[in-house]
Amino acid sequence: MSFETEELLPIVAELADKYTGKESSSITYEKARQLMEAVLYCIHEYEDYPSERQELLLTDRKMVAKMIYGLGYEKVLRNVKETQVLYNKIIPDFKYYENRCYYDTFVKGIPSFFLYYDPRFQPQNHILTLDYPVLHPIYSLRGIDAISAFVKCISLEQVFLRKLPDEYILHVLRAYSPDHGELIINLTAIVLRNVLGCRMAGKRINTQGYTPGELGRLIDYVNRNDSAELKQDMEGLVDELVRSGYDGLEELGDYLKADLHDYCFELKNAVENQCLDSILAI
Amino acid sequence: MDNGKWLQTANDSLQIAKVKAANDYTKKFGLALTDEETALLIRERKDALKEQERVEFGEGILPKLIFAFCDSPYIYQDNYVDSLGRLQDMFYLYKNESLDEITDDELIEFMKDQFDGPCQGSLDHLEDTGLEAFARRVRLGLDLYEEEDDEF
Repeated sequence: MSFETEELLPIVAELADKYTGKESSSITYEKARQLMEAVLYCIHEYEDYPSERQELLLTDRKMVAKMIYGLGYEKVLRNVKETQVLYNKIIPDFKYYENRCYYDTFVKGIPSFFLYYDPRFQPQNHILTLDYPVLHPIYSLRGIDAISAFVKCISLEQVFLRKLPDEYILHVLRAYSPDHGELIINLTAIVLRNVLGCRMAGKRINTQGYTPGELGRLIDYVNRNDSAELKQDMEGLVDELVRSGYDGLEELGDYLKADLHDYCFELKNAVENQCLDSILAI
Repeated sequence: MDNGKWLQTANDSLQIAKVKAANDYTKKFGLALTDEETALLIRERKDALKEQERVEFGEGILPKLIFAFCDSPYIYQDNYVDSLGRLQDMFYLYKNESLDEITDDELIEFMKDQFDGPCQGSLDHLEDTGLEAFARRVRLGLDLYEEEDDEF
């Protein structure tokens, strides 16, 4: 449902009153824009979740807009609460594998978000830059939607990483770069690439490198397929991995597959240029 | 949505009604606004808001200014409209200059104190000295009525 500006103005006026505590009759354009964005954000929140939509029987469109804004605002609050619950579930066992960006973003950043997030007057502002690059693109999201998506991604990453020995994860990260602790990189993608590399080479997942035979098998595997076929094969490998190691957790499978497109191209390129060590712990 | 027009909202009829209603009170001070004068002040309000890039919802600041200044010994029927227009412009300007850190009532109270006191009814003096220093103190987070140290 789209509303005319005039239909939203009473809500903005009400918010402005709350913002100034009725002690100022006027606000700056900048603040008015911020409040209008807050109203639109809450309305979109309501509209983005069709399952939670209610039939509104009001005929006055201003009342409808106000009611939808109210429902959207409640949705924002619920979303914050749910994200907080998920965050609290992850944090006791959270491992950051020596990566400072991962630690700072998740352990230091997210609590600050919960501390300073303003769902009433600026729900569209998620405050953080979310530097740790998760595999699902969240750059188009704003406010609690972005934070919620980010925390869900981290939750899936932790599920994936926790099943693997710490020594193995640190081994592949060190092989990726001796400065892995200081880089802004996605740890899950690096580990997944190595796990899939092992599967393609028919070797066990361990901290020992590849034998010449295993390396040859890997190169053959890559050369046999073009990028599209390779991606399809790898999706199968991810499905198999998730089925066998993660109780078929579909969300995790989808999340891991987000990296396969890039991986296939990089792998083909690495084989062609004989620089497999740039993506795998050879 | 963001073509900016909505930021210049106006509820002229409400504004006019409120300003006209103030005449009942200001009559005892020998002050009153005609319909044309009221309309002129409302137009000036719109221009001032646009110039200062502010949005005003509700009844606006004019009735408050009228009630605050109508008993000033320096305001009389002949300069009433002009004074209100200037005071209105100054009000929005110094709301911005003080970074919205003070409430409407605080600003009006200060304007009235200065206007009737040190400025002796001079709007130029009020704008260029009293309010200027006041806004600076607000921005620096100092006590609103505290004298600044003179560095000369």
